[in-house]
Amino acid sequence: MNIIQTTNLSKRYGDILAIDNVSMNVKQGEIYGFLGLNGAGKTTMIRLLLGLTKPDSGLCELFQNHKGPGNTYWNDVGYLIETPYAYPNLSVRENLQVICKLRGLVEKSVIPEILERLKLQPYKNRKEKNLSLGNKQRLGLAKALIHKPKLLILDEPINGLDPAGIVEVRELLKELAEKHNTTIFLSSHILSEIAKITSRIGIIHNGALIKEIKSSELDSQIIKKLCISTHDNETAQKILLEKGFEASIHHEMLELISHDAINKPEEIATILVQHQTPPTQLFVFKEDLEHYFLRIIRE
Amino acid sequence: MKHQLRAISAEFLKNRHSTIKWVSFAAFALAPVFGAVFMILIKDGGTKGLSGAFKSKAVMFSFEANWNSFLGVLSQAVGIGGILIFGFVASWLFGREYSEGTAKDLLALPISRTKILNAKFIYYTFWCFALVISNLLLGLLFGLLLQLDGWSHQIFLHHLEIYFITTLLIVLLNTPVAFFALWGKGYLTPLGIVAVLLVLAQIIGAMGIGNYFPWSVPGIYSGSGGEDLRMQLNNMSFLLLIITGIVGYLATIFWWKYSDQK
Repeated sequence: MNIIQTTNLSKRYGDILAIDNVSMNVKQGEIYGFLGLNGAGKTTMIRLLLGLTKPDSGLCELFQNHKGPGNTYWNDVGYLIETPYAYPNLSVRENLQVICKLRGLVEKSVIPEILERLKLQPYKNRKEKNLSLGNKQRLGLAKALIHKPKLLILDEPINGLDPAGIVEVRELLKELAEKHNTTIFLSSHILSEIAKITSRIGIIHNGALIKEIKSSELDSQIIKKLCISTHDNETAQKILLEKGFEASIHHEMLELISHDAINKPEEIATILVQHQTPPTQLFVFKEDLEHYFLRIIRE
Repeated sequence: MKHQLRAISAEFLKNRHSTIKWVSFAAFALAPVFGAVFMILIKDGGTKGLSGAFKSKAVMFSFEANWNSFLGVLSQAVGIGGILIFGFVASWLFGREYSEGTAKDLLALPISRTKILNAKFIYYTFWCFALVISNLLLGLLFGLLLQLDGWSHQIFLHHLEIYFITTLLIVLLNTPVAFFALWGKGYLTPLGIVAVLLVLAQIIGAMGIGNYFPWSVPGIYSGSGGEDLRMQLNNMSFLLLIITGIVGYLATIFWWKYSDQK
């Protein structure tokens, strides 16, 4: 079942096409990573999903429905948009009480549980304005999770968290998807983070969804090459070609992209040594996820 | 109804520790304090003890150090100061969600946006009436301490009616301020609007056509322009004010419900 479904969704702000004909779907229990540079359209997309902004054209459905605010099905949706804000003069507990009242939840049962889960128990009586950035982020997540939604829409949820906090949130989201079948739509501009938890990634650039890829396929999409430098690269190139390894020369380096060469660099080194052109440098280059992301949006 | 009550309860909780609340009470309390000072000065030396605008006002209205004058001053303070203070309250209540960044948390909930706004309007009304009741009690206390002459139930009830109707008129007038808070996404725009309206109310009132300018009507009704000006108010004066209030309310609801929340 598609929990999120958009069809030819477009949104324009004046001259800027913020969302350009985006069609996508997210299935139940899936963690979908929505990746893009700042200003690519991630937050606009989230606002469209939540009904905060109306599309110029196209359709946007959650749970195969399109319903405005005030409908009980919004209790199946939890969300966090950009920087999490809360009432600065209220304590953590009071901020959660406000949400409980607005969502019709029984405060006594849900607040202690979410405080425990987000490790906010020691700060429950602290005013929001006195919280650290990381704890403000936790409070934002607590507000999004307190009603145990079936769908979580999170915009940059790890912003401001320290490394330990990032791991905790990552584990929490994985647990929600795996154990509770929660569908999670997660936006970020950091591919390496998103790749660790998502099952599928959509890349948005200038408002258009330019690529969708399963996280498991990401490794195969990343450029890997064996880079070699010798005193005579042209001779080395010919020798390798004779041995069945195609190599090209870039920036005074030999580059081999065949799997055999990448997986067995020692064989290549042996061949070159045997032919009196020993490598002065030899290493396997693996494109990192951020480079991959930048390459995709530049293509 | 359950949803509405929950929204009201949330609104009360949001304002539990608000310092602005106490600032508004302190600012509004200046009215009975100055009223009492006014009475002390008149009591001691009549209008001779006054100077400047105080004196001209006291002479114009034949103020005396008695309950009738003092209760009149309290109503007039609401008629003029209420535009500013109630406008300040409406600006804060409706604009804070944007200024504090919490507006987006209120837009995709199982509770309707209208009910959230209604809760704000109810809380706003409650706050304004709390302000005027507090001022009234403070005024009565000062009056008793000053041992003012001329107390009678008739006089008290007569002024009480003017006092609370003036309050109601101003409460109604601030629905457009709520709209400007949402439109301007914060409390600075509506505060600017309140300042402009207050100035306009004074200018238009002084021009003698204030009975058709809704923001001048409460002041005139409270008696701040004298009994002659008050007599100029007619059904159209009140109708225009009520229409302004209704249009402001509807504009606020429609804007919140249907505009893009960027």
